[in-house]
Amino acid sequence: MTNYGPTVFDTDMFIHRLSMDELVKSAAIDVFKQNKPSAICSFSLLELKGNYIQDLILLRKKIYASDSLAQAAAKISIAGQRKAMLMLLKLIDNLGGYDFPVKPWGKAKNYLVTVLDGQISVSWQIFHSFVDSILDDLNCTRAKEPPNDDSGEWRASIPKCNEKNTDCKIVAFMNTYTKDLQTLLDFLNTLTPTELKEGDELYKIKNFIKTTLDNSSFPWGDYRCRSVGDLLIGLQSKIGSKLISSNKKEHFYLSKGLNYRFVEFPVANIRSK
Amino acid sequence: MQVTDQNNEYGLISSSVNIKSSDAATKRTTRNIVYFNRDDSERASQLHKKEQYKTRIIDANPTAITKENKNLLNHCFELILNANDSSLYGPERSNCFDEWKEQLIILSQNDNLSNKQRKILGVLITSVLNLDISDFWENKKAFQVLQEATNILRFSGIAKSECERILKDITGLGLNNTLLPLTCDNTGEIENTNLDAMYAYLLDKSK
Repeated sequence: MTNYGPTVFDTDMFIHRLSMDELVKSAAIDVFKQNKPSAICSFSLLELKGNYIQDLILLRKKIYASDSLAQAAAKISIAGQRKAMLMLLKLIDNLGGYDFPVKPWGKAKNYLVTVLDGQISVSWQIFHSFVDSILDDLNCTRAKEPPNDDSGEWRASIPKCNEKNTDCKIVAFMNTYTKDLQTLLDFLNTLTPTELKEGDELYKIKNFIKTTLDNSSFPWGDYRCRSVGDLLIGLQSKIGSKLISSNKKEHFYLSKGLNYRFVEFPVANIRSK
Repeated sequence: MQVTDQNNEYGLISSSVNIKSSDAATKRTTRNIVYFNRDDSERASQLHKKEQYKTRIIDANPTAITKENKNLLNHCFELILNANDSSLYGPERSNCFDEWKEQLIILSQNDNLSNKQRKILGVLITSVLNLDISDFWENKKAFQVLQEATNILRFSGIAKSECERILKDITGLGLNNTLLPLTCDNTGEIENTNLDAMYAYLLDKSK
């Protein structure tokens, strides 16, 4: 941890900046303004692509393929559950709410698709613009792949990593933190079963660290990095002055074990105001 | 080269046109875009075609612009030009700006727009959502960007690079709603109930 490095913002902070809850949104924007210089880990960009941008593409595809609002909503609910349905409703709310020109559906559909095309086009760029720098010690190949529509349809899928399609430095990166990983493992071993539940990300992280230390190599490939995203973000945060996140569950313990400063964004408190 | 600074029916000439020094008095945007008037449309068309092939990567599948869309696009461009015309009466400029926003939405509802046109249009619509002309009084640069984006929309064969540049220019303005607040992981129950009520109303209205 350094006192002079940038403030690192966790992935969830970017989600809060786009929250439909005005209090959460404005509090998040303030935190970004007050903590300069700011940074994001390249891995967070990957998470944003895998979540937020994928959701936008889902909305776009289902709306485009539907013959009515009811059909679009049904498709979106089935494929993306309540979260995606709320996104659709919030989108309509932003575009006029009760006054949204829903009839005829053909025109309403074109309007929604146009706005979503715009949102997908600029989201990647805007996520970059929220911060002053991107921390990319991992040289993550997947984080350098923006969503594209070269084939005429939006794609933001994240391929499984393998030797042929990946040129990252995750193994070397992890090797530079061997001592820290050992310290973290020792710390995690002291936690009670209540604090460290099987199936939780922290539990997976513990197993990953053990495997990495036993084999002297991080077991990368497929989607493995994505299952331990908090560990990767925590390690990269060590070169920053602090990490701001609403994810207390993992970073409270990881920051103790890895020795970085964690500042909680108290989203529940802000929401209840 | 004869270039005049007139209203309506402008043709875009790419920024790399080699303009003689005698044309220095012609109207250009910050990106050296020169607008030709209707009288010079043949020359503009020729130069435009030439420049497209010289400097642009042509959209592989340009969607032909229908007459209805063409008229609407030209109208939108005229409106944003008027909104930025300081010689016009203030309320007229404001009305032009509001009408420009409305026309962009009407345009987005039409068929036969290319995907690049939809991208630019979508970003334009959300960027100025809930904004008034007074938000731009002191921001000449923003007006130039909005004007240029509206102008580029009028072309079916927008190059990828040109589309990306204009999107970057719009996002660079840092307007509030360019990226809409759509994340809902932490939405409160009251908000959810309100959204559900809105959906029920719209569903009924759509039948």
